[in-house]
Amino acid sequence: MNTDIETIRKAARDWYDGTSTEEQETMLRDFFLSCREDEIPSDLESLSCMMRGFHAAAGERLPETFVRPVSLRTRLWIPLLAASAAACAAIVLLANRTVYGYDYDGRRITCEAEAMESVHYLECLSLLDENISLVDEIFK
Amino acid sequence: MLFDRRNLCSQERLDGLWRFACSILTDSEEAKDVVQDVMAKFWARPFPVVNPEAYLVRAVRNACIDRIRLRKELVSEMPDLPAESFAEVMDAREIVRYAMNRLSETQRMVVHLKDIEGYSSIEIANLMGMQDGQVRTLLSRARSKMRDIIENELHYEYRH
Repeated sequence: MNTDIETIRKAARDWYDGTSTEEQETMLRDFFLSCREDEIPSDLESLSCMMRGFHAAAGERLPETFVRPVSLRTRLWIPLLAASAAACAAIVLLANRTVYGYDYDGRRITCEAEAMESVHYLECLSLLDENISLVDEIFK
Repeated sequence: MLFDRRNLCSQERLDGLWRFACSILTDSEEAKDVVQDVMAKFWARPFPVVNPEAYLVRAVRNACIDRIRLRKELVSEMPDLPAESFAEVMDAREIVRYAMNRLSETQRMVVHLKDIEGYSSIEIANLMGMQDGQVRTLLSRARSKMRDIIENELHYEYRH
């Protein structure tokens, strides 16, 4: 025991009076937590018990079944973030699709089969146009 | 004043609030419910509070007092075991809890905040809405009463 026992007794009296300083309280705590029980004078046993009890109580932890609350803001942000992420993913995916051409309304054609159908349709129209021109010439 | 709610919801903070509620209510499960309710209300608040730490301590204290009022008789619910045999089987933490449960609610709160959570008497005075001198008087009476309980009621002594 490095600390003088009379200094401890004085600090203990102040502690019971509620007038102890931070240094005295730290000294008492360190003394009683580091000291063997059989080294403690009988008049300080109850204080030793209290110091060890307070120290043990300070180490108590909340049971793991405790459900952490989620803030209102977090509850709003989570679906908003999820929707934004989905929208971004959709834009990226759509932007990467191959554009084969445009239909009459100016919309992109991204399906290969649809593009082939469109080409075939235009070819047919072109043939029809040639036939019409031929008929016009005959009439003239 | 802005603050980070995540710091206030840290595990250490929650543990501290739970221990405080345990000291007042003497029931760990009920204390857990109190902390859960207080934190849920705190998170649901649309506006920040000026001193969130003090707000949470006061909210837990008020919630505990409400529950005690519902229970009415707190001390009579304590197990009434023979003191001699009781002290022999209890460890220091249980002895301190036993002695604290014999204190008045205010004394218990002050002792808990000072000796378990390590707040200064000025901080406690701010949290509890008291004067520093009042806190010191309460501490003095509570500690002396705890010593009497440990020595006379539990007949605690280290057996050499």
